[in-house]
Amino acid sequence: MDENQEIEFKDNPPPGFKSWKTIYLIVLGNLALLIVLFYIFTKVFNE
Amino acid sequence: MSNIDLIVLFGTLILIALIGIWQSRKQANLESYLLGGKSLKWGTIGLSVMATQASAITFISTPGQAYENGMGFVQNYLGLPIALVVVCAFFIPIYYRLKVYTAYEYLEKRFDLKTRLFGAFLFLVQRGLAAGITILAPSIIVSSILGWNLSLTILMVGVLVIIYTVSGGTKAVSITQKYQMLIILFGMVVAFFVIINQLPDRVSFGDAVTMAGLAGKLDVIDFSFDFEKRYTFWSGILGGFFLSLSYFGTDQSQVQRYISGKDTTEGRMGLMFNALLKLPLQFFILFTGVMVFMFYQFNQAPIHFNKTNLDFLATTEYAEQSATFEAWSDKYHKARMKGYELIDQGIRRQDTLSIQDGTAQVLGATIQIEETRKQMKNLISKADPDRKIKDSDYVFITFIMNEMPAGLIGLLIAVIFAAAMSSTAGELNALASTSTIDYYKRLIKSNASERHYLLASKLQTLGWGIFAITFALFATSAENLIEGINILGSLFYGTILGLFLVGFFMHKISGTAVFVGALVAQVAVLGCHFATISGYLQIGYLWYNAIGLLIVVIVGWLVQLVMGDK
Repeated sequence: MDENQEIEFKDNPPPGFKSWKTIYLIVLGNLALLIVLFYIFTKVFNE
Repeated sequence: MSNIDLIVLFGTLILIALIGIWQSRKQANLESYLLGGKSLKWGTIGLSVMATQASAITFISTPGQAYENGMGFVQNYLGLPIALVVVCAFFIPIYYRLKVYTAYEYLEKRFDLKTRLFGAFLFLVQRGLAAGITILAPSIIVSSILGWNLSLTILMVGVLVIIYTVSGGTKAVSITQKYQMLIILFGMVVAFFVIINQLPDRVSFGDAVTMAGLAGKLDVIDFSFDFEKRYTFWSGILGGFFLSLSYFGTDQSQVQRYISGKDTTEGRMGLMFNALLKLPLQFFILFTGVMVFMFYQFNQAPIHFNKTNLDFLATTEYAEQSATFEAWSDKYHKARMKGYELIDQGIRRQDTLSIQDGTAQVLGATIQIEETRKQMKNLISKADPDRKIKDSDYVFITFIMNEMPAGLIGLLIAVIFAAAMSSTAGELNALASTSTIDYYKRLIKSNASERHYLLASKLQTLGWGIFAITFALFATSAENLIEGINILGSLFYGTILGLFLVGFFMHKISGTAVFVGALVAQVAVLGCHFATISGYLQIGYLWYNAIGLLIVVIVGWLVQLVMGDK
C-alpha cells in the first residue's frame, strides 16, 4: 500500500454529528421502528 | 398511445439524456471519466445508487407481485440497511484510502494479481449477461402491451443509453440517474393518487385498506420459521443481508457510484440515504399494487393480464373455450357488483341480513373469478406448454394503459424506460471501468497516456453496450428472464463476497489460499445450480450466496493451514 495515499486519506465525521456511529445507530433504530410498524400494520389489518 | 403520451414519453427520455451529456461534456482524463472527477455530492450519489438498483422490473413486477401475493415481498429488503451500515463502516474507508477505480483493485493490494483478475472476471461474466437482460426484460413486456416491435424497442433503449454513457462517463450516468429517479418517484406518487381517485365514491381509502387486509394482501411481516415460505422475516433479514452486502460492497456497478464522491462523507451519506428510504419505497410500491388489486375488485379485470396469450388462444382450436371463460368472468364480475350493492343497501337501511347476503355473494363471485382465471391459464398451457402463463408482470402496465388519463400514460411508460436506462447505464459504466482498469491497463498496456486510457474506456463502454444489445436481440427465450437476473447474481455473489470478507477480516489467509477457496466455491455453486435444474437437488437460489461465501472462508482457511503461516 502506498504510504502517501495513507497520509492523504482523511475520514471526516458526518455533517451535524460527532461520529458515524450515531448515524449508524439512527439507521438501525429506523429499521427496528419500521419492523415494529410493519408488524402492527399486519396485526391491525389481519383481524 | 395518444400523441400527447408519445410526446411526454420521448420528450422525457431525450431531455434526461441531453442533460446528462451537457453537464458532463468536459472529460479530460480517466478520473473525470470513470470517477466523475470525484466531485459528486451525496444527494446525487444516493439517488444514483437507488436508480442503479431499481431496474424497470422493480416498477413493472413489484406492484403485480403485491396484486397476486400481497406485501410480504418487502421483507426481502430487511437486511439491506444493516448491510449498508457494514459497507459504510468497513468497505468505504478502504476503497477511498486506496484510491481505487474498481473494487477488484483492492484484491490485488490485499492478496495478489490472480485473485484480483478472478474477482473482476466473475463480475464481468455476471454483469455482462445481466446488462442484456436489464434491457430485454422490460422491452418484452412494454413492446407486447404497446404493440411495438421488440427489436426496435431494445435498440431504442440501448442506443440512447450508449450515447450518453459513452460520451459522459460516470458523471453523465450519475446525473441522468438522479433525474431518472426523480421522474420515477414523481410518476409513482402520481399513479398512486390516481388509483385512489379511481376507487368508487362509496369506498373510502380506509374502506379499501380494510378490505385489502381482509383479502390477506396486507400481511407485511411474518415471523414464522417456515422454510417453505418464500418471504419471512428471517429469510429477509439473513438472506437479504448477505445479498445486499455482496451487491453494495463488491459489485462495481454500485461501488463506482459511491466512490465518485469528493470524500468518504459523500459516499457514506449517499448509502445512508438508501438505508433510510429503501424499505419505505418498496412498501409504497407494493402498497400501490394492493390498491390496483382493490381497484379491480370494483372494476372488471381482464381474465388474463398478458394480452398476447389471449390473442394467441384466439388463433387456436381453444378459441371457443377461451371466449366461454371470458363470458363467465363477465358474469361473475356482475354478480360481485350486485353483492356490493346489497352490502351498500344493507348499510343504508341498517339491515344485517342484506349485508350478510351481499358479503356471501361477493365472496362466492370472487372465488369463481379466481377459478376462471386459473382455468384460462391452464387452457393457455394446454394450447402451448412452453408459454409463460404467469401474468402478474403485466398487471400494473395493463392498469396504466387502460385506466390512466392521457399524458400520464406517457409519463409512466417513461418511468419504466427511465428505470431500464438508469440500471443499464450503471452496468455499462462499471463493466467498462473493470475491463479497462483490471485487464487492459493492468495486463495489456500499463504505461500509456491519460488520453489513451480515456479513449480505451469510451471504446469499451461502447463495446459492452453493443454486447448487451446483441444479447438482448438474440436471446430467444423470454421465459424466466426476470428471475434469471436474480439467479445469475446469486451464482457469483457468494464467491466474490467471500474474497472481500476474507481480505478484510482474516488477515492470516494469503492470496493462494483464498484463490483456491474461491475456485472451489465457484465450482461448488455452479454444481449445486446444475444439480438443482437437473432435479438431483432442491436448493433455493438465494442459498447459493451463503454456500459460496462459506466455502471460500472454510477452504481458504484449510488451505492456509496446510500451507503454513503466510
